[in-house]
Amino acid sequence: MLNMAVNLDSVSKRFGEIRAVNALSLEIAEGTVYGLLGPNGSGKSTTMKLIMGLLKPDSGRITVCGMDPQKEPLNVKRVIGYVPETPRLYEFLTGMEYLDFIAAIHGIPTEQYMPKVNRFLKAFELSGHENKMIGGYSNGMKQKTAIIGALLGDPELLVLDEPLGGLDSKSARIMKDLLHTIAEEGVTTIFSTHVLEIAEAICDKICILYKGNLLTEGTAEELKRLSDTPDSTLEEAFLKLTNSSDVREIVEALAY
Amino acid sequence: MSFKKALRIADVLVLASIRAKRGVKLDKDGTAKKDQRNEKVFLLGLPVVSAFIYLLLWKGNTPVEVVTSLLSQSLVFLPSFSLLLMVMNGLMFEVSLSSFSTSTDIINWLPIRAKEYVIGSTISAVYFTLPFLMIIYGASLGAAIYAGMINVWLLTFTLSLLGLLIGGFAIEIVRAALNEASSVISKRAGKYGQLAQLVSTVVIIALFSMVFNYQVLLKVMTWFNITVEQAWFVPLLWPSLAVIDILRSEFTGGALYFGGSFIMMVAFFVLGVKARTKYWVPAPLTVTLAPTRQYSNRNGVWSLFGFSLAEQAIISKDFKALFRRREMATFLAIPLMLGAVTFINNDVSSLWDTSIPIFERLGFFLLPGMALFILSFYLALVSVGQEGSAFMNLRVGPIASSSIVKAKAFVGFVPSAVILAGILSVVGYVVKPSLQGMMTIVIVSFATIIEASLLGMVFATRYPDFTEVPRAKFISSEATLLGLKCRNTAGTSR
Repeated sequence: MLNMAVNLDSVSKRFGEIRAVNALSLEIAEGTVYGLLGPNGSGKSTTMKLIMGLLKPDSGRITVCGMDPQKEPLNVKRVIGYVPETPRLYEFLTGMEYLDFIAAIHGIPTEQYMPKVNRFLKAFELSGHENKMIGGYSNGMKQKTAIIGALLGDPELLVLDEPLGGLDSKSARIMKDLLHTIAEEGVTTIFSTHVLEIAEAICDKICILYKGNLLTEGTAEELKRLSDTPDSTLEEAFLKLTNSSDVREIVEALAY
Repeated sequence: MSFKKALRIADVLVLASIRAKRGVKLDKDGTAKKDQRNEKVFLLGLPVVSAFIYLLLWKGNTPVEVVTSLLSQSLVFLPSFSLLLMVMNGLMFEVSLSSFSTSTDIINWLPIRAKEYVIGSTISAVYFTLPFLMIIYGASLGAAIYAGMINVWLLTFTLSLLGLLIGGFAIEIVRAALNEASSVISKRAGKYGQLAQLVSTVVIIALFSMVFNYQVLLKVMTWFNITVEQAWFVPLLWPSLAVIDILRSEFTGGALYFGGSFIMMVAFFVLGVKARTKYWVPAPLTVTLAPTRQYSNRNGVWSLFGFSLAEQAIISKDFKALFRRREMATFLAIPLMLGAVTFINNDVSSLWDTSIPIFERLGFFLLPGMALFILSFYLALVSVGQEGSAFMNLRVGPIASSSIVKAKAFVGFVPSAVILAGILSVVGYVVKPSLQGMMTIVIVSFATIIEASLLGMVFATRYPDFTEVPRAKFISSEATLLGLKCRNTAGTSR
């Protein structure tokens, strides 16, 4: 039987009148690369924040690596590496000072994190920029720095909100390969994306959220079959499932 | 050149500055309201204040000779003061806004001429300086009507407006030069460049704050009136020298200085345009800092105070923020400003005068002591909000809230404690209180700044404001008011 890294059992979260997540149940096995797909406002980021323990569910139960994020927040945070959609770093620190800070917060010994930092800096082509102030970094450089920060503490679970958005194609490729490599070592990754090709290329399992509800879950191949058309793509399946298949009509209307 | 375009630029710059400073107020339908406080003060300042001062002098039956003497000094000082205030205001604008709201490069790619931008930018700067000056002009107008010196007042008023424009154009040159200089210094000098920038920012803010201290202003005005004539070769003083000559009925000299001032204004405008054309808006710069040490996650100096590794990391980060973020310079200027005011308003030699009771000599240090109390309070008060959206880094990290509070309270305490140690050394060396007295002073003063820091933390944790755009706010306005009230109560009780 597979060990579950993350378990959501009928989890709901409301913000005033808006039901962001509605009775959501998910089981994510250890070592899985799990993709959260859905249009804007579908509840992807809220789900991630619930898993992180940053938001408290109104109802339902969440378990992360066997722990309740609300009851054991520090222990859960120790095993998670998180990259938010828009990384907010301390702009007055240099990249290296930021990573040093993150390592200290996680209590990672120098001899453990420094070789890793140097390897990642080189891989993401940030070497030579580590002593520059983050305020002068491009969005992509900030994204890479945040990703390195998330990987520093050897997390058991990586939570990445749109992680490849600001990356150049080489870095995106490195990131994809890296996710596969660490998955083989048993690290679980949950990530959200709007880019369906990326989800198809790297996710072992994908779920589609829509207005806070789970529409479907499965491998990319299983989801493609749901569109009921031969040789259909994941995009077509996604548009069909999220009732967005009228895009062609909209584009035509916009053109005139 | 299109003057209409210059006015539109001024309009946008004014709107951006007002919203950056005061936030955006919305109508019921969600439309952004126009803040017209400056216009109201501008229009009402002159008539209301002049009428009030006139009635005050008339009601008090003040001797005309007394009014004439003080008014003459004020009228001589006003044109140079207007110029100075304009320059200080411009510099304050440069240093006080966060990089989010100031970093704009639209003038690089919009079809705007340097002339149009310089005029627009100067008008927007005048807009913020003039309301305060209108109150001073109003006060002098009331006195001038009472003393029958309305002609000289009109001349002073004209020269003051000229001074404002000279100051406005001068600041355009300074801004362009500063941008270029700070780019070069920051790139080449790294952390020394940053330190130089911090020191100059703190000094500017301290000087600017002192302009609004009436005791300091009176001293400067008296000194100015005595020495201004010896510095006739400084063009920036010509507007004031024109007033002096007119007061003495030396009309040729007055006309020359007036004409000279006008030519200077045109010259500054041309130079401002040239500086903007040459440097325009610089590209955002990247500062590289050489690491001061080998990165190592071992316990440092702060562990001596019992802090964990993670708490030490927060302390170290917050100290970097204190010395690297422009917004924080305002707080560092507090002790400098109040210390300078103490030295200007008091006779320093009296500290060594043993005939004066010790208690009175200790009074000299009261204001600097208050400054440290305020510094400690403010550093703690803004400590949580200054994290901005980067607070997420702490929230997702395995660190308890109590550790964050402990570390931040300590950062609020340390700068004041260091300065306090220096002040107490001076007290011990110069005033020489008894051992018992000295120990009491040491314990009470350190306890006071610890108290201020903890008090600040109470409000910082309850009412943080993480807003960063258009301007970093750090703490909600309600908490600032509440905190100030508590701070004053606590300070008074000491």
